[in-house]
Amino acid sequence: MRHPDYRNYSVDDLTRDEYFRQWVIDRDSQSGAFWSEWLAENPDCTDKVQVARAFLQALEEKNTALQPAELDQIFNDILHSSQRQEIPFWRTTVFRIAAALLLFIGLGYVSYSFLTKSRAGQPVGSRMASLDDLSPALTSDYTETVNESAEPRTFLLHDSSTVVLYPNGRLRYPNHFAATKREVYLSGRAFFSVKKNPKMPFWVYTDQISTQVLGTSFLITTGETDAKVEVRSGRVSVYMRKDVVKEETTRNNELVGMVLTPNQQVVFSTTEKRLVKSVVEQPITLHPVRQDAYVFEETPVTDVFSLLEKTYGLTFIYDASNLKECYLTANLAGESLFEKLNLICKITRSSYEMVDGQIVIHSKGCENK
Amino acid sequence: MKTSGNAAASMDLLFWQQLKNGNEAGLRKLIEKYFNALQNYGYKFLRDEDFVKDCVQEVFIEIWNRRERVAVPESVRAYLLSSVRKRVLREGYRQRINRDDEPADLENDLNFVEFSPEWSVIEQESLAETTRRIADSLNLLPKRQREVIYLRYYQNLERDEIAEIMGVNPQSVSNLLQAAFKTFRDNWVGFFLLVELIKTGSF
Repeated sequence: MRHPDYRNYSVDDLTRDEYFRQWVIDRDSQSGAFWSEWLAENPDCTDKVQVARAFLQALEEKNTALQPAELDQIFNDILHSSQRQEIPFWRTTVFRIAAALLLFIGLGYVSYSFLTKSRAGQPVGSRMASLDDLSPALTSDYTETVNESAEPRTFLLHDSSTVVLYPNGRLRYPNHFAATKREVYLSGRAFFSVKKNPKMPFWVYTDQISTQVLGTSFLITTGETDAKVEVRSGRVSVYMRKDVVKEETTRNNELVGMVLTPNQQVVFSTTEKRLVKSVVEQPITLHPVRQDAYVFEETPVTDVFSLLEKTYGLTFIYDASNLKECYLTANLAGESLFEKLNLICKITRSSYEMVDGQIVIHSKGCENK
Repeated sequence: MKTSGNAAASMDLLFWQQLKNGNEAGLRKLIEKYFNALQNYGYKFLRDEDFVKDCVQEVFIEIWNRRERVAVPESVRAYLLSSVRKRVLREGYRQRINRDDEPADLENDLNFVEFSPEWSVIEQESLAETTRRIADSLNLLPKRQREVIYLRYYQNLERDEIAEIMGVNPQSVSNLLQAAFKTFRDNWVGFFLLVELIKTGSF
């Protein structure tokens, strides 16, 4: 490769030179080798190169370069998330006229049925009807099981995901999964261990919320008026059911959901009509931790918090400067997360609260005045 | 003598045309070429890597879905950057509303951020020092000047492309850039950068 005479280049020229940019921005090792050699031969240009390089780095701030494998993954995701219909059909005139007619008929029907019969016994039918909109696969060729025993029962699905269905739980799954997603319907309580398959997201529909994962384990509990998702491992997205229906009809691909990580949970209650994220009641340790890791002696409390963050995968928010005089000497092995927190807070004269699935520490500091 | 942007731009148009014809290779090339730069730009508005990554991904999904109907842009690079900018601002704003934060004015709420380079990755101490000083002086600039400088130098864009992305006319881009140079001079960045930049006021 022939190179121009970089000696005549200004800082401005350098920042725009592809080969220079390959070195600084793309971290390309071949151009890197060229430039260090060139600098050795032209030591008087060191300052110029230094400034140009620093300038680009100051603007970049963070190296966002992805590994080729990650780009592969992204490329596949983009291809596969896109077998969608072209024109949003609600834009078409035919649809608009039909919608107006339907609305008219619908209003008539609603007022008619409201006037003629009581509304008891109606929910089950309407639930299934709306499930039909969401997932045709779950309303035609499916299997439905109810666990009538007193013991949890384990089911193995075709994709080798497992479901532990608790007593009185009802699980519906298609006899064949659709080509682009795996869908099941749950009412009651179940623990899912989903086999990882990024090309076929796994959806769990319940009456109030829908949960989407690629591969992970989590627990779902539904009741008459509320629903809860607790995450054991991996990442889980939870949506309100109505948002999923909306997305399916408008195909605008902009879902309003919540992303959960291990030891977080989300609760939906019909009264509040929104998703609330928090920490699960009994957080579990994500990695095996040696017993003596939790024996502290004059340990800065911020170190203790980072250890807890690592162990439980939860985010701690605190003011490090405020806590810098706080040291902890204690044996916390074998205690639960909340017992640990209570003790730490007592010793360091602080308190904690849980906000949005994170743990916030309040402290007045530990300086002895 | 500078490597011309023209060759790269015509390659882009080639990829775009492939993409429009439903050829996955074109999509793939554009992703390989621009995904990183687009993420870096989005990150300037919202410090949330996952969120920004999703936004960039959605921009490509939308283009791929609507490939038969999307127009051929004058500059593919500018079109992509501008789509990411819009999406990050819009989705970021929406996300805030959903979090029940007080919804504030969009333009003032999500701003082009201050530069704070990752020092740890800059191995050489004197380089880190220079980088820090440049970042400090850049941060003294008003946010629109900062964005122009970023697009001009980091993204290596031409004046018209910058104008398209920021939704202003090309003359304003020149003005913003000149104003930025002037502020640089007044703040004394370090004579090298200063002298060199001013000398080649090619805009």
